[in-house]
Amino acid sequence: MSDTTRTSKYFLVCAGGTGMRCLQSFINMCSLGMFSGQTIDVLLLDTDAENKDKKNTENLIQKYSKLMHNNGESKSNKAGEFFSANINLYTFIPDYSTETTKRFTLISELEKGDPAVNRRLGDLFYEEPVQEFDLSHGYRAQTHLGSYLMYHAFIDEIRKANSNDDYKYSSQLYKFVDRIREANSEGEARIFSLGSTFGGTGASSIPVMPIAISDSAKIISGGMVQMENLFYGASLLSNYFTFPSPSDAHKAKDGIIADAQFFPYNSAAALMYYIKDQTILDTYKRFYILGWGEFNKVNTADYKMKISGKKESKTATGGKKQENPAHILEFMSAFAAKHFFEKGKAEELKTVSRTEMVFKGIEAISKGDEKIPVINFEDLVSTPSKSGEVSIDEQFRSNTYAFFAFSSLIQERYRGRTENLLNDLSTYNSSYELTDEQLEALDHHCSYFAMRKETIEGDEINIPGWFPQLWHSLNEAPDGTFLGMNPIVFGSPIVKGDVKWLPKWHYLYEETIDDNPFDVFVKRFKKINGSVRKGTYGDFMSHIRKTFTSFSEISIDPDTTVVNSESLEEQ
Amino acid sequence: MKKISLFLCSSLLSSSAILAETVDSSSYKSVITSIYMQSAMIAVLIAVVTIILVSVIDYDLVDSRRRSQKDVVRRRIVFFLTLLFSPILWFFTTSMFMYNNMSKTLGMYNWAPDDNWIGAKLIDAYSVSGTFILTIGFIISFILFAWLLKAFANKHKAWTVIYSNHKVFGAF
Repeated sequence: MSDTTRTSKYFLVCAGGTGMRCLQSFINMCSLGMFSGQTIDVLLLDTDAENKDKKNTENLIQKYSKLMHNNGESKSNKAGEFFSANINLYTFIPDYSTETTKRFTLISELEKGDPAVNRRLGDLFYEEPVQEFDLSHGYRAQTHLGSYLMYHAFIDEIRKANSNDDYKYSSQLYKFVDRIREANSEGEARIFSLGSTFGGTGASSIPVMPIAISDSAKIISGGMVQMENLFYGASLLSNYFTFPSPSDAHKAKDGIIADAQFFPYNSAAALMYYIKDQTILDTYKRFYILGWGEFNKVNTADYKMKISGKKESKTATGGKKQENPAHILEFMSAFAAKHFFEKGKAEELKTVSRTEMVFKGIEAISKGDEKIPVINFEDLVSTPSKSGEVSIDEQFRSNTYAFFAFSSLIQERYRGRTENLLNDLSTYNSSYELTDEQLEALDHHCSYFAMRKETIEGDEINIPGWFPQLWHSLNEAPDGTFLGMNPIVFGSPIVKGDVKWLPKWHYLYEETIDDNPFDVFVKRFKKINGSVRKGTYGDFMSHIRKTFTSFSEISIDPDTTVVNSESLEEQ
Repeated sequence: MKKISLFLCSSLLSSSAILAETVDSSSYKSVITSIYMQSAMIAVLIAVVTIILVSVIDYDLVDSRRRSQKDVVRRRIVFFLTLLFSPILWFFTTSMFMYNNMSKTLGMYNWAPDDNWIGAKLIDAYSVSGTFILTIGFIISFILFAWLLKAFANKHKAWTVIYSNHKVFGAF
């Protein structure tokens, strides 16, 4: 996948657990038609090789690569075909699993030379537990250590690759930086970092990323890098989720461990640093500051218990069990990257001498003491459109509704097997030829997006997919407050067994809400696309999109709902 | 209102007498042609009704591991039942219920007692040629209308009776 010959000017660096989840949002944004016909190079950066979010993200990109195609126009104000953006993945994971790299003291070789002097020097910067904790689960919110180690890992990797041809061909970081160097020599490279400010790897990486990449590019090119052609941006995510504090036994065992109760302080301290540090302000062109303010934060443990009905015995702060639900703020981060990539010409960015801070207020409604955010499509993406032209947020709404409806239909009717839908459509003289790889990837993406089945302790349960998780992240947003959607489309917690949390896509459209939705779908599919013999995968996705986007979407105005419910209460 | 109803009923009861047409050796050929036209028109009407009936049946999206699709089969059942019973009904209606040997009438046609050969020709036109025309007319009309609906109105349900899975009747 990384061997593509297409060169992009858009580069995305995703660091740490939050970075991985933001990347998942970015991939989903692309699958929903954004960056149509364009290429994005993505560097996946993590220190925790076992992290399940990372594995899920890698898996998602691998599946995406089987589905991506070139049927798209490269226009920033256009939401095109599904999967029409090209994504090249590069992975870099500093190896902290060996006997010589698993602790700071080993990497820094404190025991060599004069250990007493070295230790005293180390103690000046880091407390002893920080120097000694196992790095294989990441930097564990110790950003002062993490930044140092991440920069070191970058430079070390590039130097090794630069001096050894065999290593060079295997080093994905080298290839990624080399692409940046190519784009730089062609006039423009926009590099956007995604990660949290409150965790470990992301918070450690964002401050050093411009310097690490620029220095790496200089090493590759022998100093021939035009710094004015490298544009850096980042989203700064402050704390937006929480999880139960680790038990005393857990703390005693691991020594240094991430604890969500400190996330707000970590975020505040990091933001102070970002807005004051001169190196940061000189190197970054734009920061997108994203926070969750007074809104209720989703507790990952409560969420998992609500879905599975089973309580987790131990807090997962890394490793195979760290798999948090998707959050709307991660999706907003992905759109921040889109904004950075497409907003303003290179010449305009060159005139930015000090980091621009970008933020956006979200509408909220009050329900008792609680404040409920109201998320609209315009909050995610908006560009000025000419009169008579459909705005980008409207196009994106249509695509989002369409893909959610399609992937939910596949789950509801075919238990996740697209092949069976193809067989049914073939009966109606619409046949498409998809390879086994495409079918498998599409099945995976649809179940990931809408709903998947999982067996937990012998019970088969429905796990909400990425898109319904966004709704759950708003604590099951009431009528219309999440993208104008009726909450019923995300399924119901009341019914048991097979249909619990099963998305009810037919509530998305006026045409499908009352009649047999499958009949309505096929009728419209045939009406729009006619009969097809041996259609390609691209044709299939395009026909599915055309069919669903031709329906009239139901959008609920939360203000009207509030008024209605208030007047009902008065009566 | 009562008077209107009474008038309509009496008109209907005496319609065969009012509309009755005596067939003789000079007119029997044109009458036979009109009988053929009648059966062809009835065939078209039945085809239209059948298309409406098959179009009422919903498309069926269903996981083949649970059960097989049934909508196309149902539409074909409607089509073949109509194809089977329409000629039978036509044959018995024309040769038994409409025909009266005593009064020398067949539907709205009558003939002189001496012209029994005309009666035989009319019965033959109704029950043999008419049945054949009805059957062929129904099939042709159904295929034609189904194709027209598919090609120009983007309505595909009726066409799936004839053609599914890119094969005639899904098999050939």
